[in-house]
Amino acid sequence: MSRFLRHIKGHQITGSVADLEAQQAEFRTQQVSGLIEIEDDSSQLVLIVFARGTMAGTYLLAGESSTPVILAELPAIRQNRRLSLRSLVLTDPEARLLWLILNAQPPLVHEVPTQERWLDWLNANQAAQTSTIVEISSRESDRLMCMHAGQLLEDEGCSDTQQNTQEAIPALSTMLPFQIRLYKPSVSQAWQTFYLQMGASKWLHHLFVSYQRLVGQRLTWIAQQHITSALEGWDIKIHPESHKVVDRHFFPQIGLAAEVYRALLMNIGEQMSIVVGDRLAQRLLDRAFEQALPVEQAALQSQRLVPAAFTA
Amino acid sequence: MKILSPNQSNQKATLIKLGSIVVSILLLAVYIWFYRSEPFEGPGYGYLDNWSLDILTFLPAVAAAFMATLTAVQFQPHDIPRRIWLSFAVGWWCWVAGEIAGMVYDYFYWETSYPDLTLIDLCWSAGYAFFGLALFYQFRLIYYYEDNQRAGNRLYLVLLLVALLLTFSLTLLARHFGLGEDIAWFPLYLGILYPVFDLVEGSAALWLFFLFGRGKWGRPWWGLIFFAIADSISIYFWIGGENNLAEETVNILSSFSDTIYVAGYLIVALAFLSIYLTLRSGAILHSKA
Repeated sequence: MSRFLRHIKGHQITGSVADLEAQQAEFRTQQVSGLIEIEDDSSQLVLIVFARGTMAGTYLLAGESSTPVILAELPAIRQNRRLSLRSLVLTDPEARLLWLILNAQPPLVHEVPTQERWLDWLNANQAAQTSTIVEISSRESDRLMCMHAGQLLEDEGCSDTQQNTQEAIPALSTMLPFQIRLYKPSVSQAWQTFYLQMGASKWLHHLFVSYQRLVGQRLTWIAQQHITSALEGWDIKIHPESHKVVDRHFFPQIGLAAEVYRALLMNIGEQMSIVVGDRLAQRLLDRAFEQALPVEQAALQSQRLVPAAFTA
Repeated sequence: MKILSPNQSNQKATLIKLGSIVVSILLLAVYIWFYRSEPFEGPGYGYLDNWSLDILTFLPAVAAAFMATLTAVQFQPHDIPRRIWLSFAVGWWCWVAGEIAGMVYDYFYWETSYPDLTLIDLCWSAGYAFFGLALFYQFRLIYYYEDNQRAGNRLYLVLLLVALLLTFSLTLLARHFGLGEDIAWFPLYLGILYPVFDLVEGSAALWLFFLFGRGKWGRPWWGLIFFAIADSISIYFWIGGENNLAEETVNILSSFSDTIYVAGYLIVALAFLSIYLTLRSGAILHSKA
């Protein structure tokens, strides 16, 4: 019955709605991210995605498409039928990836029999700067990868093996032949949140690079330390690393992501204004913002995360 | 390097800065008092009075050069700002050497007059060259780094050529109007080169002043603006311009020129102190002081 990451057993039980509620409560109490798959006696499959204890969404799977639903309105729930339940605790990036899949367009399916076919596909989509979630399914394992603007994001992938998802991500060549499902972006909140996070990370990255060029390594490090301090009380999985801002947090709503990045950008903007003045700080913010993709800029602008907002 | 809490860092840095500002104001006050009262030898501006003023100028000059150097070495060798501030610091040390040379020449030539060309000129000229280099690095970093560094290099060479040609033209003009007629040609050219460099470098510093606004990074350049103003008055007098003004006006302008000359050094020292404290303590002060 498992649809995603099929080779992970997770916590499987057959029970009632009360058991489902208990599993949901477990996610809330532990404040972890993950997935609960629910199958009723009519083989209807429903997935609940959790983002650090918060329900990010509930989706009814029918064929290759997924539809957001309200759990309480499902017949199996209303009628308190017997349910087959499988819950998986996942890392934030893994759960986020599944959430994007469930909010994507219906997938295109391709068979990849050889390494050459895979490389051809990869090269073509890199050149086209495709953004998609790639689900790779073979007999032994499943793997999820995120391609954004033609680049495979290594930190955004996950895999199951017959052991667990944390270790031994197999090389793709060992998975051949495999089938790929390509989930193209939609206009959903999930994808807007993804674009905002990608855009904000990229914005901050380019900002740090140009700021360091202007004022040197020490002051840039100080700025990054201030960001780390600012995030400490928030339990947010975002941290500066070299010139990058690593975001491994699962925000179930775009507003929450915007709030965090707004605070970070205000912090950075204030520091830069004090050191290099408002005008130059504005210029640095503007130029770094321009490095984000149009879809990323649109997501940022929709939440009023624009360069002019972060200097005096 | 341990980062203090923002409050601890702010308090310590604020105390150091306030103390330095107080010391600077006091030094300037003492300078003005010595300038106006001539306590050692009474009216007529004796050697000891002049020597006192030299010392009161030398100390801020050393402070400026020292703080510039201390700040520059806080940067990593691969940091671009390091070469900006090191060039700037070397320029200030050249001017410290010039101040020392001035005191030495005063000792030997007090009763006569300086030669037309002195070591002081070498020190001032070298200082200007390094200031120009620092400004070039700064401007190239801001405007040309990403696009075209060669364009920045070309602009620098053009500006340098314009400055040299402008000086040449002004020298001819000065001769034509009888200014500096008792000074040899090259010393006159060099004497006019200073205010031209002051004009170019002062204008560049003014540009940076507007660009950086109240940001700490722009403050060390303010010193060049002060010196441009002070030197312009001095050079005008040097080539005989004081003959065209009333004595009282000359006195007032001289006082003003010499005072902001010293203030220029102090401004530079305080500006670098502020940057240095930020680099060492890790605190970004939340006031723009």
